[in-house]
Amino acid sequence: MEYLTDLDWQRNLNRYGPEEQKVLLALSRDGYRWRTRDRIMEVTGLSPGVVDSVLSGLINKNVIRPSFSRKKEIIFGLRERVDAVLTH
Amino acid sequence: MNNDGTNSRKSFSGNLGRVLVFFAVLVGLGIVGIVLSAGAKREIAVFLIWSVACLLSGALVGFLFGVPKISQIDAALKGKPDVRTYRQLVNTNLEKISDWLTTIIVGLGLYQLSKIPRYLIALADFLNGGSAEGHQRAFSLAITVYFTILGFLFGYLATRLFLSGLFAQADKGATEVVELIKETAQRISPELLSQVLSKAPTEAIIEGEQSFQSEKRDNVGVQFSDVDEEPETSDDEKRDLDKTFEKLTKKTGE
Repeated sequence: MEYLTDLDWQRNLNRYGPEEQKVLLALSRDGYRWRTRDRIMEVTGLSPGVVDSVLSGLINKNVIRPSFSRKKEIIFGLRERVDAVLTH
Repeated sequence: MNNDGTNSRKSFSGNLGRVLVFFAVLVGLGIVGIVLSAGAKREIAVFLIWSVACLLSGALVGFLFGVPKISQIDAALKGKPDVRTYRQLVNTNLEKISDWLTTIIVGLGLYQLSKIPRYLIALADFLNGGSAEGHQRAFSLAITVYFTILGFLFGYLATRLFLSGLFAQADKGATEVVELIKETAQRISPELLSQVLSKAPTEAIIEGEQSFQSEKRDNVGVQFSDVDEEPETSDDEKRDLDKTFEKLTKKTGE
């Protein structure tokens, strides 16, 4: 599995800091539209505090959307990927 | 879980439909009886209104008899009176009222049993303008008893078969949401928690992300429906991410 490279956020890279880019990249993994906070932490190597603050900022910027999985875990997805499914 | 939910919802609406059709047929028969037996339009209107009143009164009593009792004893805290924890309990005032009223209705009913026919005849006469012939009286009595019993049965069945389930579901859902929020609050920062709660759809908190369901309908495939709760090879992905991140950074530099 690879990372998607044709996403909107990648065309506007300058809007995001390095930590934000890492989190956004983790959310661009092909095959996984939703990722848990723990997995984001694992693959980005960022600390829990940083991940929380980055996720919070990205939700605020309307770039990502939080939700809950069937197992009631908090999950995060890029709006441009996850909202497309709902509007189909 | 979602399949079970969908199936139970389908069977719920199927049963509800059958019960509604059954009672609609009986109400329809009653109305046909009124239209055929009553002469003038005004008389029909009076009997129709009276039937609706009987139906609703019966349904209310049926509801009171059918209100479920809720056990709120926490198994973990049972026998430990000293343990004090904050938790919300379901308001059971309606349950208590239903208990009192049903006891009063049954008690008074039994006590006044011998007088009930007299009251019913007086009621039938009243419906017919003070005095009634034999068949008019019988008709008014029949309408009263028929619609009251029908209403009672409907109220009781609807409460036992459908409303009890809905009450239980709502209570369980509310408790689950509170527990979920409490559990989540221990793991993430308050800032992120408030963002998640304000931006995550309410249905997702209760049933899980809605797009999973729409994906299944569209047959997009299982692969994209799944969340990565089951870890794949984490180190590989970390390496991949670092590599892609480097490429991206270079691209930004250019």
